[in-house]
Amino acid sequence: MLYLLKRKKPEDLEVIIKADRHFSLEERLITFWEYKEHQDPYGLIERLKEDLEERIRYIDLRKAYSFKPSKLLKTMAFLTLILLALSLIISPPKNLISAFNPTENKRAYNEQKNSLLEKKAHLSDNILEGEGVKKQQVSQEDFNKEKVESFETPKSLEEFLSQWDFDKNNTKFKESQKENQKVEDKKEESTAQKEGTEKSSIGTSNMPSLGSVASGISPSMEEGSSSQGEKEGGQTAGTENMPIQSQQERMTQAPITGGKVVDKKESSGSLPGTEERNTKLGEKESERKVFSGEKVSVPSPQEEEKGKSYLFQAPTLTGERKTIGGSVSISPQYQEESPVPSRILPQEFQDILKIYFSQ
Amino acid sequence: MALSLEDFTDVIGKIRREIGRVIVGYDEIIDLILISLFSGGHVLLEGVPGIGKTLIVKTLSEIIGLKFSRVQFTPDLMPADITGTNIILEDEEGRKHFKFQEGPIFANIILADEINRATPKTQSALLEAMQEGNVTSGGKVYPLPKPFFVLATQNPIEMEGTYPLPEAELDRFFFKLILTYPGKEELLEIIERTTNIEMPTVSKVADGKTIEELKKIVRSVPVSQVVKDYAVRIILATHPETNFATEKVKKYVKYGASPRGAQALILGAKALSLFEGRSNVSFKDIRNVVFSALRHRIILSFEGEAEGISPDEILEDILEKVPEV
Repeated sequence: MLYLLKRKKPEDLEVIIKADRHFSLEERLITFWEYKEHQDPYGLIERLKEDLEERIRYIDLRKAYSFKPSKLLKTMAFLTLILLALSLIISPPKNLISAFNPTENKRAYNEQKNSLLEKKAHLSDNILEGEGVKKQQVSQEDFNKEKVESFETPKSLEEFLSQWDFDKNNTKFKESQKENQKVEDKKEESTAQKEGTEKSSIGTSNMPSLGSVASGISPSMEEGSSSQGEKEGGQTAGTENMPIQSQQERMTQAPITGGKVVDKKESSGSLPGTEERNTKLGEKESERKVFSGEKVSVPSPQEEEKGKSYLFQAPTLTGERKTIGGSVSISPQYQEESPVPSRILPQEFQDILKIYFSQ
Repeated sequence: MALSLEDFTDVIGKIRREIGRVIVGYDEIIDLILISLFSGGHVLLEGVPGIGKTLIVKTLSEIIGLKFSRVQFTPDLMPADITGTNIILEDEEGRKHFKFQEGPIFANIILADEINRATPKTQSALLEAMQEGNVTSGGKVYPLPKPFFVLATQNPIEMEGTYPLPEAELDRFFFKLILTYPGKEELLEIIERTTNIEMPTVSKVADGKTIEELKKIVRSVPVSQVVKDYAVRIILATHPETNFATEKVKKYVKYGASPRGAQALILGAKALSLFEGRSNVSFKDIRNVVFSALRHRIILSFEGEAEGISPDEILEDILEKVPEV
């Protein structure tokens, strides 16, 4: 209705000109419109009318003029849009606020979630009560304690350490160290056997495997070579059917030869370093020496500022060029310098030196 | 006897067919000549020698059964040689008196061959005849027969010893048509028709009265106001001093088309609409006659002449810039 009322009413001439163009009437319509009352003796207007009727019989003239809103309608639409925008700005709907406020939205979500959980817990309580299950009051501390106890505690340091993800190089280094240790143990064992029984085969005791040697020489070699060394070492020891031992087992047990645990107590002689250890390797944490004391830096930065001081000052030669008549002499003469009488030595070093020389 | 639109279409069809028996090609030129004839105007034909200008005029006069005369314009031709002159005659009683001896202009169709070879004085002898349709001699006015149709030709290449037509003379020509050389097919047809023993002949299909009646029909064709407005805006656009003028017009045109140009536009468009079977004038009709009606009415400035600008280029620019509505 508004469209019909407020639609811009076009002028007749405008519509006709547009229709003429739109339907390619070659200005027949406008000419007839202007000359419709005109009388001519040659029947040109009549002919024009017939021609025009023939052409516009099957066309809809309204299509030639598209909808054009009037200025009033445009203004009204614009004002409506402005008012709508203003109303949205001044009092926007709640949903719109929550959409633009994420913290508020999150809080509301949490509240809703908690309420749902409470409802669900309440429902499950009711069900359990209905089934005759007693409700136990468990405190948070007890729950935590129980939970902590249920966790698996590591049996040894190695096991504990094995859970950690060391970096690759560090792991390799440790493995190579272990391999070295094993090789040394084997050597000791073979030496002890040789000395003790003198009947064991030479091939197994005096031929260290290449892999072991290689791993011993180059601890930083790749994992493949070290594993190969392990394998070959095993073969030389005649342990073809030996099951693959885990890292933990290898660390906790004594070196194995020929599938049997070597009794070091019996085989060990009076050689230094071959006696049985009180604790097996890896069972107990070894003592660590902690260096405590004042760090000495030579030369120290403070002293450098004051003037250079050295532990020892070697005698130096100072040269003196003698010039004759302004010309430079070819062979300069040198004089020997006497040593510096004062020698600065830290007290700690002095003590060490004293102890050393006293022994 | 009042002719109808159907009669007009019939006569035009017959004339076209008869001319086509003699003249090969030039359909557009022939139509424009006929448009000019039915609009009551005169035509200036410009073209190189030997392309059938004279033949067109001669054939047309034969077809419409009108008196035809040819005037060869030369530098020594005098105005009286065209219009006629008073001569002394002696009657039976021995008294002498002046009698006006009609010149070749007293015909229906005049072929002014190589009009630019005569002096401006002689050329001006045609002014009154072409515009007023009569000749004044010895204080007496002699009307020319109707229809009166002048077809002037001029050669664009031989400019030595010629006198360019004055603007006033040019403005009296309804159309200026430029004839070009025929194409290959047309040339073959010309040879075929004109080199045999039997020459093609034409028959009379209309007379002077019919032509005059058809001229009235042309003038009765309705033209809407918007189309007239378009024609007027085109004319005004040729005037460098008006707001309608384009940049090109302002730069290269010295004088634009006169009101005769507007008349030629509308009348030519009316006749053209009838030729195309319509009984109203459209924008397209106006555009189709713009070049023929206005190209000789635009006087180029010094800059235009120096830069070799042609009036057709100016008109093209005007048609491009001036909107229909």
